[in-house]
Amino acid sequence: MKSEETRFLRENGFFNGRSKTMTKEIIRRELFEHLTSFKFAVLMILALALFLMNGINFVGKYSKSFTEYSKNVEEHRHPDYIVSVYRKPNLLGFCVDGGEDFQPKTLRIELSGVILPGKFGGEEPVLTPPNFEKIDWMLIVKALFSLFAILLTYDAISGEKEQGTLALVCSNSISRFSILFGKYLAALITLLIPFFIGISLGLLTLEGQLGIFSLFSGESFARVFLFIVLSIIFISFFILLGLSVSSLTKRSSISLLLLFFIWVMLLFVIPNLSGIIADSIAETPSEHEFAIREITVFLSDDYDVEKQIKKKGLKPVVAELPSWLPPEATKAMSGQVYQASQEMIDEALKVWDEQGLQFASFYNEYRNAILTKQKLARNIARISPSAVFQFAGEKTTHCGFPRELSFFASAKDYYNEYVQYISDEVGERIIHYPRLPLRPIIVNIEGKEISIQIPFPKFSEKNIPQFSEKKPSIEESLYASLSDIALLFLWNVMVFFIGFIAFIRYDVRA
Amino acid sequence: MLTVIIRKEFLDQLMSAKFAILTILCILLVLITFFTSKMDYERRLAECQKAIQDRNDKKGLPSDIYKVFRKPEILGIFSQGYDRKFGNTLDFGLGDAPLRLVSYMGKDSLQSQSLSGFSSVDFEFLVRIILSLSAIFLAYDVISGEREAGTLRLTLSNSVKRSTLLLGKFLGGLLSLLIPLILIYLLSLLIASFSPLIDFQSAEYSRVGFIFLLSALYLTSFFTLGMFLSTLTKRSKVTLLISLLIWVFLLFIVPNASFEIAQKIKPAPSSEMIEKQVEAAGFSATGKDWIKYERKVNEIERRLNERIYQQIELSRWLSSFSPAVVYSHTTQIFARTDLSSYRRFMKFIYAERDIYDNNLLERFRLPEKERTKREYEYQKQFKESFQVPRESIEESLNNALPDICLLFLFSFLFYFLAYFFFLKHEV
Repeated sequence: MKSEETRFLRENGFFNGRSKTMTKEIIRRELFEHLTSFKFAVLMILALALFLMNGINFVGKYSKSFTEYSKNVEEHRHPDYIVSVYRKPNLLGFCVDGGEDFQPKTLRIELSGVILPGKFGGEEPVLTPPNFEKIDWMLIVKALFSLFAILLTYDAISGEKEQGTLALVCSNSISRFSILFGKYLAALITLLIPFFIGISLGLLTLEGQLGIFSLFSGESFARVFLFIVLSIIFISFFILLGLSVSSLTKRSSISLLLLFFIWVMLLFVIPNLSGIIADSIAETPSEHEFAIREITVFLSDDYDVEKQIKKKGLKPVVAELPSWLPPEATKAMSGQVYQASQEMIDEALKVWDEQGLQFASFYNEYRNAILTKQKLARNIARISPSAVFQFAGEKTTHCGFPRELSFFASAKDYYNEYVQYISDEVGERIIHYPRLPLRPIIVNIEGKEISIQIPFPKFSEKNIPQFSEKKPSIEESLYASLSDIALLFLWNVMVFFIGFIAFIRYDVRA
Repeated sequence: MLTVIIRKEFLDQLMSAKFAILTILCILLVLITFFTSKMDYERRLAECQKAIQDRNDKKGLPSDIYKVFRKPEILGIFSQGYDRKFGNTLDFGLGDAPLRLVSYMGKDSLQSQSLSGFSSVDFEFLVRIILSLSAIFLAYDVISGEREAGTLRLTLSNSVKRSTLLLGKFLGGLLSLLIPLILIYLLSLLIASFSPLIDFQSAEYSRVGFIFLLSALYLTSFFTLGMFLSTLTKRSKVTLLISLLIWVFLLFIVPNASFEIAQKIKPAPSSEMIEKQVEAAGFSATGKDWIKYERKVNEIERRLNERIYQQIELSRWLSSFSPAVVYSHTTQIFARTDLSSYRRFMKFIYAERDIYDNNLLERFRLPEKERTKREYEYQKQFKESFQVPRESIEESLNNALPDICLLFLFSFLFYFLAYFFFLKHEV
């Protein structure tokens, strides 16, 4: 009798099999409910519209900046005392933009080792309305999908309790873990459907208008794939958050209220506040202090060629007059015209060299101060998983802040290469000229005005090193973003445990 | 009867759990955000004062006596707007075309770009996002909730007009919504008054007063929107969902999308085109020719800037059906942190520069001695009395008037729609 009963129960899906089919049943039911809901339709329309808009906008922007980039590179191949290097437009910008417009597109490398953004040492200002964010895939996932993750799950537990169906579900022989897991999986699948359709639509737009697949290397595909994985982890965090808050509250309207506030905090308040906080607490000299220090270097007596020459008591020599002068003129001018002596030129070069090095170290210090601030701001923002997602996305697709850093680093490497080239190939002595005196300067010694000119090295265009921006390999990018991915994962696990424990202790009676 | 409904509605809202959560969150947020923006303002003000001091002590280059500084706006702590986006200083002297404000380190600065990814969180942000959300949470169930509870029928079976009931619910709900607003408003004024550097004049108080009124008006428009949606739907849950979707659309999608569309409609000229135009201006380093060259370059730059302004204006116009955009623009006007106050600033600088240039051209005709004397006089006058006039409250009010009307219009429209649909509502 007993064995017959057991067999009956087993056949009807009790014991181990029963739980599995129940989970499936829950997933199926939830999925059906989600997919036929009004919110799903809205999500679908919004997601498709935004992905399409992103694609169209990106095509216009990318082709414009690419023509500008290739023209610039073509025009500025010639060797010079100041070289400009250009940033290639980011092909993956549609995926993660990373505030590309605000980062230097051009770096100006001076022989002193000063590297500054902008072709003429200053970038055109980018004026956008406050609170404007570019609509890239990142933003669509970060704002839209997280929002709908909340809207799909806020009433998963508290709503069923209100309706009284939760007690019914729990009265079946199904573990609470399975219920939670079923709801989680159903919400995830529901969100991933518009996500993947949107991505395909976006890629198709890009392919249709730009032929992006032919521009893509295998690595680009891998980077996009990594971004998709990251997005799934991020969306999953918000689903788990919704389930947790839903199992912590008794009424669905309260859980929605709480979730919305958490959403606003994580997406807008924390990331935006971190900039101002870092600006205020970073222990770096203020911008104005740096400006004063720059002028001090500029005006210092140590770097005043005239004063240094006078101090050393160097004298000019009588100039040899050119042979083409008419003899009367030569006669009248002989002994009257002076030119700089070799010692004077050497002294001037020495002074300029020192000043150039001083400038270079000053600018490095300034840049480091800014980087300190920026890194601090990013670390403060890391409290929020949405910022973590943003930073991980920037690292995996190599754009934004990480790219800015590597662009500068590549420019620095290029500078070393360039200097090496000049001293090796051209055989000129390298002088770290400061930024200004490329024109001859006039020094006044004992009432005689002597012009001192920097000898211009002769460049040959052969074998001139070409700039190439170093890009981390996909493994390196992945390795760099590992800590952020781990953090995101940790958030998932943490929120899941909170939700799980809350649900186990949940009073399911309506 | 009206007072009874208002009282009941008001007390109902006050006693609800959502009200408690909202108020606590608002207080917490205003404490965090206001302290940070106050700290930030003080730091920037101190830096600016130091810079002015150093200019007057002649610590910089000889030409630096002609530096103009723009102080951070005191009301930026209420509505940051563009305040941190623009630079702090510009060179006014010969050899420096005053094109735009730059940072203290000049055009070379990396600073202006470095923290640009982070926008601001201020009083305006709290009202625009957090309190509007609260308005929706307080309004979504005023009609559909009562209908679900079955109390709507009971109420209407009394001799209460529907219009009275709606008005009572509106006023009661609005009153309860004003409590967190007044709370964060007073708290922020209190925090501001603790700062030794922040010193409000009476004009500033009236501006802050206007910002408060605007905030109330803005919240009204969202509250009436919620009420309207509540009369439209039968279930409060659906009302909430639709209201939230509309909220997200108006607050986040509309402003971002409209700017991208405006960029497409009115594209700014590429930097290459600008460069070509500048090259065509024909550089010359000598006296009079320099002034001519400078004027040409100025003209090109002004045109470019004008184009960018037009873009932003267009995007604002495209998105002016969103109360959030209108609200943030009007508060910026009253805080003098909007784009037009910046344009005003630059317009004044350009005009002064023209006077200076004409003065200079005249001076070239004078003998050497006279010229230096004039130059010295001008320097002295510049140091003592050069000041960019700021917008008066009347001007700000004038600028903001269309937007204020728009905010009123939103409230009226939504209230009227709510009334219309409530009359037809089946209880």
